[in-house]
Parts: sequence; C-alpha cells; structure tokens
Amino acid sequence: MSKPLWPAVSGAMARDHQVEVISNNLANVNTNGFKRDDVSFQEYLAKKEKTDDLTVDIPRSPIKDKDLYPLDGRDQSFVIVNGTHTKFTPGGLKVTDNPLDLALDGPGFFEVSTPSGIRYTRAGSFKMAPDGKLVTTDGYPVLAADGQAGATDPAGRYINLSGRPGPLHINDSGEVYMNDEKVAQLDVVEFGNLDPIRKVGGLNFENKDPIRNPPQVAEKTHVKQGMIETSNVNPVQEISNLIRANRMFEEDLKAMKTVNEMMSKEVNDIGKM
Amino acid sequence: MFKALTTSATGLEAQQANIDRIANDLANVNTDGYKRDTTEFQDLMYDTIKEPGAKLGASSTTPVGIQEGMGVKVGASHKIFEQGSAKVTNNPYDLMVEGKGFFPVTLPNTGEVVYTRAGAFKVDAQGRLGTSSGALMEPQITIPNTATSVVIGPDGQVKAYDSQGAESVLGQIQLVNFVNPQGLMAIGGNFYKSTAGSGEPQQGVPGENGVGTIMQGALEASNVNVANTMVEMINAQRGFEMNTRVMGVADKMLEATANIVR
Repeated sequence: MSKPLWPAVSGAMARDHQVEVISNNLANVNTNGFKRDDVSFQEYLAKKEKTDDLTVDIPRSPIKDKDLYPLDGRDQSFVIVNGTHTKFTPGGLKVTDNPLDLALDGPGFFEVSTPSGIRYTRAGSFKMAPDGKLVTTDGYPVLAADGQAGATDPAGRYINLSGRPGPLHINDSGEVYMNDEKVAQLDVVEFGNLDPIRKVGGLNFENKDPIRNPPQVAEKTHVKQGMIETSNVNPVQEISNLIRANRMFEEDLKAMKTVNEMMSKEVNDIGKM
Repeated sequence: MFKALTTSATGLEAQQANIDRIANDLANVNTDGYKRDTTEFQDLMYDTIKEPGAKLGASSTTPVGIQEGMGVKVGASHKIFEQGSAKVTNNPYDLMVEGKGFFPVTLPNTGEVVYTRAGAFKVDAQGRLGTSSGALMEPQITIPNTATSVVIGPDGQVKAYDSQGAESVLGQIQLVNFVNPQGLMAIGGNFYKSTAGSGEPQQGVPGENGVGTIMQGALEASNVNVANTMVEMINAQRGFEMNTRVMGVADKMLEATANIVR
C-alpha cells in the first residue's frame, strides 16, 4: 500500500527541477546572448510483476479479466528528470550601433580563450582592453582564426586593435578592418552536434566532446556588426510552463495526501474492526 | 525550490539595476554632452547534477546532462559614446566635438585633468575659458577684454578680433582620444577620468589623429534615445514582474508541501 506514494513524490521532485530551470530562464530574460534550458522527463519503470507471455491456469481456476493483462511495472512507474537541454534557437537582433557589438546570424559561436581553456560564446558585446586586445565583458580574449578552427595555441590568436585609431569595420564573414586594412579574421565556429555544448556560466559554453565533435569553420553563420543577440527566452512559454509545473506539483501533493489518508485508514480503522 | 527563490531574486536585482540605469538615462535626456549607459547581464554558474557525456556502459555515454542555472548578474555597465545630435546655439563659446575626441579640462579644486564632451564653455573674471563649474580648458585660453568677436575654427585655433578688426591668435584648443573610451570612468558633472581600462589619453589637434573637429556655436545634445529607452524600460519592468511571479510560485509550492501533513 505504501508503493503509490513514491510515484507522486517522484513527480513532485521532477516538477521542482522544472521550476528551478524556469526560474533561471526568467532571471535571464534580458541577458543578451543567453540560451534557454529545457527539462526532459522520462518514465522509469520499476519492475515487472507478470510477464507478457501469459500462462493462464485453465481449467483449474476461472479466468479473470486481469489475467489477460500483463503487469509490466506501469502501475508503479516513476518519473525522473533525465536531462536539461540548452535550446540554441536564435534570439532577436537588437541594433546598438556600437562597433564592438557583434551578433551571430546562424548556428555558430565566437571562440574565447579563458584560463580554463577555450570556451564558446554567442554574447558578442566585446570590449577593447587597455593593451588593445579584443576581449569579452569578463576580459577574456576573443580569438582570431588561423585558417583551421581551434588548431593552435590560443595566445598566438589574440586580436590586437591598438595603435590603429580610426573606424573599425567587421564584415559579414568576420573580417576585421581598421582604416581599410585587414587586421584579423574572427574565429567563428560551428558544431555538428550541439548536445555536448554545455553551459559554464558567464554566457560561455564548453565543448565536452572535442574529439568526436570538433569545432568546424563556420559556413552558415554571418557576423553582424553593431547588433547584439537578445535572450531567446520566451516569457509567455516560460510563464505557461511555470503555471503548469505549479499545478502538477499540487496534483502530486494531492495524490500524496490521498495515499496518506488511505494508509491512515488501513492502520487505524481496519484494526478497530 | 529554495534555489528557485534565490534565482529569481538575482533576476529582480538585475532588472532593478537596469531600471536604475534607465532612470539615470532618462533624467539626463536634456543634458548636453551626456552619453547614455548600457547594462549588460551574464548568467551565473551552473549546478551540474548529471554530467553530460558520463559513461553509461562500455561504449555508450549520456547525450545530455542535468544543469540548473543559478540566475543572473550585472556583468558590466558602460557608456555608449555615440555622437549626439548638434544643437545650434550661436553662442561663440559653445563648442561641439564632431568625432570621438574629448576636451581636456583642469578641475578647480584638485588641479586634475579630466575629460568632457559638454562644450558649453564660459569666460571667467580673468577672461579664461572654462566650464560652468569652473574647470579651465587645458591648455588655458584667455580672451582679452578688447576682443569684440572670437572665432574658433574646426581645427581648434582660437582667433579674436578687436574693434578695429585686427586679428590675434589666442591659442589652440587640443582634443584627446582614448583607445577604449568605454573604459573611462564617469565622475559626474559631465566629466570623465582616464583609467587603466581606457588607456592613456592621446592628444591631438582637432582634425588630426582621429580626434574629430570642433564646431563653434553648437552643443552636442544628449545621445539618449527616448523611444529606445522606453522599450528597455518596458522590458525591464516585465522582466521584474516575471521574476516576482516565479517567486510566488516557489512560495506556493513550499506552502503546499508544508501542508501535506497537518
């Protein structure tokens, strides 16, 4: 009798996860370059009590309805959160007219060198460091391409804009021009599989599977200067998911209450008879 | 669930910082030489509950993991030095920089050289050009009281004409430029201070070194775009509301949990 309690508990725990993820999405509703996360649930079957190949003991006992249905564990299945996925759908483009604000139109990423290794970002609000290096808001250098994405030592691929006062132009393919002279080629990369691209905070992503999923030179991505990509969080969707998660959580708690009452009757009332 | 509460609290804080910045921008919508700010957000670190790519068996790995973010923070806020529009005043000492440069001026109390785009200069009792707060132009330019008209050219050369029409050159206005103007620190009063982030000031005669040229008899209007700022305000307000909504839901869920056993 205590069994039905656990599916309800697992449901409530899963909803709890979902609310955490929604709260992070909504906290970042105005974060440029942010990508929303989504939770996926999975049914988890506990065990089979009766197998599919039914052996009904004819004719020694009368056949009942339930003899014809297998008990494959569906009656005591659980729900678990089996993953969070980052949705890489594009956000909107916002015009800022700042020459160092770059948006990516397409599935690519900028390459950034951080103390813990190469990271990828779509938040292209870059700055110029005091020494003239092109850096992210956190001060991590943005990397130039050397013809082969992600091949060599990042220190040799910093982009230096100092000593060249004058207009800065960055064209669609990421070529950086100062005073009509080509300074660098921004390294924009794409991935065949976005599943191993994991968030590490600070709007950066890490490639967890660099061997089987190496970064490739971008073919479908264009750089847009003077624009910034807004968060791809859709508030309507998030709020409706939030309401649904809240209601389902309440349903799960109601189920727990019912089980609690049933157990209470079992223990207290049946004993009285 | 407690995490959802703190996560949405970071959201509230970030949107509040955004509103604070928007309020300052809108308050300065008619401040000559004012440059609008921008607030940039960043997501905080992620709590990895299940590592993506973890081994499931000899040859299989989990394709995705479970990550829960912890919210948002203000990553940076900086000025946008977009050119403001020209406002013609026909006052001979109202100067506007067309381009990227700044006027260097000396603060009256500390003697420190700071930089400004607000070129509404006045003449003090000694005839020296300075801002309305008494910061003198660097290098100093003194207007003699015999001058009947003062002409400042696009190249920054200051010439005076007396009642006989005789021309005299009073000095040369210098402009400075920075490698990274966004690294300048705003100290109020339309002044900026150079920092390690902005780089050393690079002085130049107007028209050279990309410092821009000078336009006499005009002021640079604030570069706050009211329509854009209003849109930003709507976004910030709605973002704030949605985060309070999440807090409400987390609160309800906690309440409901506490009420299972009565």
